[in-house]
Amino acid sequence: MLKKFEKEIEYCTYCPKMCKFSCPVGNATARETATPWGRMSILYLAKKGQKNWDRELAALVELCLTCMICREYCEHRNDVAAAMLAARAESISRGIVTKEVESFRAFFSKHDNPMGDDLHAHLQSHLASKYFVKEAQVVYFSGCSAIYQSPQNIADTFKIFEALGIDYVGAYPGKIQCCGAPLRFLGLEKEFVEHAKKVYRQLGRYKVIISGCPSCVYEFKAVYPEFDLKLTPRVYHITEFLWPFFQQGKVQIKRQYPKSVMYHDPCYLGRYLDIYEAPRKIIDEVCREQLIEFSWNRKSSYCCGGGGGLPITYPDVAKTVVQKRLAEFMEKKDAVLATACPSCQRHFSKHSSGIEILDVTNLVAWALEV
Amino acid sequence: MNTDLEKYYSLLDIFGAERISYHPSDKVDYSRDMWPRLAIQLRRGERLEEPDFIVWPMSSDEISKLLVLANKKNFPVIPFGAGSGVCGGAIGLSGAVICDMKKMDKMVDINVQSMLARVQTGVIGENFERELNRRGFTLGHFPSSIYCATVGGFLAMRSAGQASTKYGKIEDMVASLQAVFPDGTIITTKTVPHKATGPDINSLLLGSEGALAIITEVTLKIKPLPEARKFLSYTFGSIKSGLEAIREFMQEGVKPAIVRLYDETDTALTMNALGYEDVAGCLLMVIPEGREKIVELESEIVNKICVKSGGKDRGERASKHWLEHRYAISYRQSPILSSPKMILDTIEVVSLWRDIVPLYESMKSAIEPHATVMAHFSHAYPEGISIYFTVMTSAEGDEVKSYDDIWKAAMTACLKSGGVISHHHGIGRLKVQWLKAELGEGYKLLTILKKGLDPNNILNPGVLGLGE
Repeated sequence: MLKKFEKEIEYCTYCPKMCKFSCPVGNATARETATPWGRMSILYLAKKGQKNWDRELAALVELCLTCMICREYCEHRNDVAAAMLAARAESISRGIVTKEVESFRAFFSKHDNPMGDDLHAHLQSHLASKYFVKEAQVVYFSGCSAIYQSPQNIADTFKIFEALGIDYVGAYPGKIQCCGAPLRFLGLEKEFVEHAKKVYRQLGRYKVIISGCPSCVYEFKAVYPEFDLKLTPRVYHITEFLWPFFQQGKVQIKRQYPKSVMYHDPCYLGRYLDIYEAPRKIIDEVCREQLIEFSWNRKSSYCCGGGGGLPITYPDVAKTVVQKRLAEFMEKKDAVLATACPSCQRHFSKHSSGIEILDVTNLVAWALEV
Repeated sequence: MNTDLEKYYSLLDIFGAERISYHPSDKVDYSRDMWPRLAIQLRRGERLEEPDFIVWPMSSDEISKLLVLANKKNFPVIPFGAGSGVCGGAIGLSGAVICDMKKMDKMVDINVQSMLARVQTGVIGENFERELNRRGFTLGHFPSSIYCATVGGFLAMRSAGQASTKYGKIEDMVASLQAVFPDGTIITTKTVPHKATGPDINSLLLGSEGALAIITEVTLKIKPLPEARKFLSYTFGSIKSGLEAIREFMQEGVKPAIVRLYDETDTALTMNALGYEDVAGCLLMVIPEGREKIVELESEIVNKICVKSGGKDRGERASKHWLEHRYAISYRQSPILSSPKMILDTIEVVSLWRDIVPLYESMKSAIEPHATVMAHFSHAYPEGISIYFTVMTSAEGDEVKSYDDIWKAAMTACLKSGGVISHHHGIGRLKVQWLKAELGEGYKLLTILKKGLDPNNILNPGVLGLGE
């Protein structure tokens, strides 16, 4: 599994740690071994037979958010995140499973999602039945995080569709409402593939897939095909789908959101899907005040700490990362934090109090008075 | 109780289990800094010396307790910033405790009125610079290690940034500091622009490479972000004429942020990469920055002097490209050092204008039998300039021996030709044998200081040749 990363592992090992300042995990732990350089160096020694592939190594490769910021500061464009995921899968294939991953595996397999609930029922309770359009060719896949933690995003999305006269999008009616990304993040590749096949069987019939979750979009668009599960190539994030309606003047804004909005780029929407402008432009359209940028934005956006399974494997580190990200926002008076990913939204909410954390769809719905 | 366990339990009282590690992976990763000799050894499969423990202090008090304990139990303590040094100044020693400073990374205070920033020294340079930038300031310190070195590392090694010609070296930016001496005493110097209260304690500790004290906090002089910048590039027929031009505008009082003159080899590589067909000569890049009117005036003076000295105006492209890729060179290290038999290193020396060309020529001649060598001149002063050699070769025999031979040839030539053996990388464990020749009788002062402050040799023994 790690064979294809040999060159990357070597280059990282002999690099003077040029991405180090940017790594949220490295910064949160202050530990050399937790930086991309540190983790890749240990894999290098394992490859050379100078380090055993043991529980310590398995735990070490879990110390990555897969946020990919390190690649933005790597002239070789080394994909450390992918190497870490491959190393996690390697650990599991060697029978080395940390207790956090083991209990997650059992939990996920019981519920077919990481939330431990009947998400299909949950979705039905939050979304009017008229939105489950039978025979729809275009489907909105809500994803586990939004259904469980931010159902308002889904309700707002369908109200926006309605206001824009979009009646051809149906809510995904399947029993399984998770793309399986959490399994893959934890190295549970076999379970991921089995799960993805089930999702694929249901989703295969749609011509267009839309989701408010960047991870789901990335899985369907880029990861499923790697396992010969080729869905329609027309998979869109909601901001990507909505922006053309604004461009074409089809969105009638009734009121502008009055508070200042600071926008957080989700890693999977930005660095993985290269979508930076659509959410910004939509925010500009619906808000009165100019959008406030984090000093770490766009390609160098700093992760919220919720990625790569880290809240499961290293909750304390994930918490330190989110606190760092929130620190700059907390300096702004009377601003709200907006993002375009239910997982980021959830992670911010979990580790803060008294602040408003909105999805871009919430802002649009507000502006349309729907 | 065995020694390791006893040491662990003593450390536990200070740091708690969460901030102590004895994991094998940590020991391996803390066994080396970026000294290329260690990379060569790693490549050959050699096991490097590993520390016993790594600890992460969160205050000067904890460091004080650690040093008191180290004296009592007689173990070495290695202050560790981010391990980006290239001279073996922060490496794991058997039996040692690595004191990783990066949890002490807080901005303590920004005094806008006096333009001073107080910061804990474990902060990584780039992260500190970004914090300043979003408040409208800059430190003006841009070493190529800025992404991977701490402010503490800058201070410990007396580092220089790419824009040192305007903003100075790190030691020029220090207003005050806090440090912990080997016996656990914590000292805090007063923050003022200058003083006359005997020898300067700040200066005594800057460049001490963690052998005399651990610097824990520093107040640095900051500047407003530059309002304007100009990009000037010239080619000269020889390094001599290029150097003369630099000397002249520096002595006119011009202080551009960036001044870089490349020798023929470095010029050919750089300009080829930029797609220039005519790559003969030596490329000089000058980037003045600051207030717009001053930048205009500085550019005018630089341009006049360069053209008068025979420089061919190459427009702004080369220097603009350089600034956009200012740290790119550091990434070239890994493909080279990961290849069998390859050796790569950099050697930075400094001298007065009078000695600079002979110094360049003699060092180049001394290195050439061992390796390919190219150089650029940067960090310009009215009195002189530094030379930065890049050396590379594929070793025919023992790589470590070849590596050592290059250094021996370079340092011997440097000392013979009136140069100083380091301008900003420091000494570490690499240049110890030449430091004594460099400082002469002055070296005695260092040994007396070490003996007085650290009689048990617990603090970073071996760097600067102290406490061996």
